[in-house]
Amino acid sequence: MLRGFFTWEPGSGVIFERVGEVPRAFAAVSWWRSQHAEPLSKTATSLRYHVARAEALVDGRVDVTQRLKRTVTIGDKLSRGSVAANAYYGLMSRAFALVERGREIPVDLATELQLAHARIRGVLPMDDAS
Amino acid sequence: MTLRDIEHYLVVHDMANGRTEVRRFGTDYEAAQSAYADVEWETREDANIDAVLLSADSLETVKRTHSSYFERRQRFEHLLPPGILPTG
Repeated sequence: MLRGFFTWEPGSGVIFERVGEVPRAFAAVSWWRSQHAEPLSKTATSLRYHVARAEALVDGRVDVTQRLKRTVTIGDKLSRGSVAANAYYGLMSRAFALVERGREIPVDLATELQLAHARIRGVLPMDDAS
Repeated sequence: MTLRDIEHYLVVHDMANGRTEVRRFGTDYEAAQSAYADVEWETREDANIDAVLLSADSLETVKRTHSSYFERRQRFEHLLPPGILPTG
């Protein structure tokens, strides 16, 4: 629904009948995204640690950036149905590390993401570092 | 570096003119997220605006990992043969 609204153009002939629902949908997805912000930061911090530990620096730097995805992108993907826990987390956010081409970082981020997802759903407390 | 040292940058790229604006929020993630939602809502009818919330230890890191937001104009310009682009 958000995608349809965001890409609609006057005169395109498309009548968007559910326009009244858009502000509520936008607010809901924004809130849901915000719940992933702190776990994403933890994951990115962990990624920084693993890049440094693997000595996979580029130009002597550890370059890790995290990104919260756009509301409309999240809405798109959520509307497609259920996904696995770690893939679901990837719908909301991304963490990037700049490393040398072909370099691998031996880290099990999937497990960390599953734990983060469990915290967001309330299965684990937010401050559980295990 | 700890969780609380991460700085947040709202990067707003206008694809129509190739300009990128960076709004800095320091370590205030909540303010950054709020501004992110505001920009998305305010520009919802402008397909040329690409807003993204990026967080890292510094803006330099953001520019290195997401260089396309900052170098797009130059990247394409250098691929063009001389004389294609207007001068001045």
